Amino acid sequence: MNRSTQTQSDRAAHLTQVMNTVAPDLLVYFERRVPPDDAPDLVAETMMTAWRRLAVAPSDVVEARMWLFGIARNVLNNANRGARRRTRLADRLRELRQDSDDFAPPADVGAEVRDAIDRLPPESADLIRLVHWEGMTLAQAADVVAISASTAQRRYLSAKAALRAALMIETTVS
Amino acid sequence: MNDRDRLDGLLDASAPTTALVGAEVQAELVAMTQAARCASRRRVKRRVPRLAATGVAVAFMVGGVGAAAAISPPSWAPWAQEPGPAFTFNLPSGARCNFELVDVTSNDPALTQAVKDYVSKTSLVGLVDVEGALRANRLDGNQDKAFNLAVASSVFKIVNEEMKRQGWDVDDDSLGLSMGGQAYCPEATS
Repeated sequence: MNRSTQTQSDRAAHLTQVMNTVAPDLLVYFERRVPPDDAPDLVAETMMTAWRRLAVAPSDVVEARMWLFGIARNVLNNANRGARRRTRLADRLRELRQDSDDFAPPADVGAEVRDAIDRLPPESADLIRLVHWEGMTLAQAADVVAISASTAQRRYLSAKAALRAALMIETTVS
Repeated sequence: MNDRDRLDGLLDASAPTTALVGAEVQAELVAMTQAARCASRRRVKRRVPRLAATGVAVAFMVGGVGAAAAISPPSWAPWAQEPGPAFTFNLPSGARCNFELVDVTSNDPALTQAVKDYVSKTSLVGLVDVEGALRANRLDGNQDKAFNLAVASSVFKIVNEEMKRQGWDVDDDSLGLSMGGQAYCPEATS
């Protein structure tokens, strides 16, 4: 449907559908980057911000997903600058996550690699995480980080070269 | 496996582990989506200024003309992290506050820029009409809370009127003009 013909109700229904699909990924996105207790609040903040910007939400499903991750990234950056708020919206989710027994493998797996990623320039580290942790294409990650595809390509290759060096993985010429 | 594959594999496997997202969590996320929608309406579309409490830091947000909401967070609100134009003023109690206009957004980048340009080269403190805002919002000017809110309301009104003067129809909801303000009053006790 063309954006100009969409009613407010159409847009809200579309965003609801996309958000329902993306919300579990957003939760995991935050849980990988902040203490687990903070993640539900950041999901709630992301959702509220998205609703406030409903008028500019992309109508394409994939673009809307990237748009939500872009909002999530801004929310995360704000949180990392020291802002932490508890919202009652997230209380139940926090309880459910605290009570969860469904844990995947131990957290120290990959610690050395994560440390190497942390030492990269922040935007390069973001690209690496979005591609390898969230399963995005490099073009999608570029959208989330709000840089051009060519800049993303350059930073990604540079970051991987740095990671190879840091992790002492030799490059062979094939 | 070649070297590139090996690095990719290491990077893929380095994602911190998280609890699996089961059906109960998914259902809660669906509920949160709708709750967040309602919460966002309350924050943005409120037409009557409201001050929940006065602490040392008070945040204000406005969406459209005259809409304002206020909260009293323990720290800068998440949307109030970017520093913006600021000025100082005194509350009726004598406590000194620093007001900062932050997080100017709209659906039209040209409007957003127009607001930023205006506030960056305007001495807002010289234009603030606290008495007028107190009267318009029927607030008690002897109270710090009311005074604080009146300052924010007046700043938002000044900006909106200037944008109208420049030809922007800021009453048009599709433009989605919103801005935040935050008053930090370290000497205030209540």
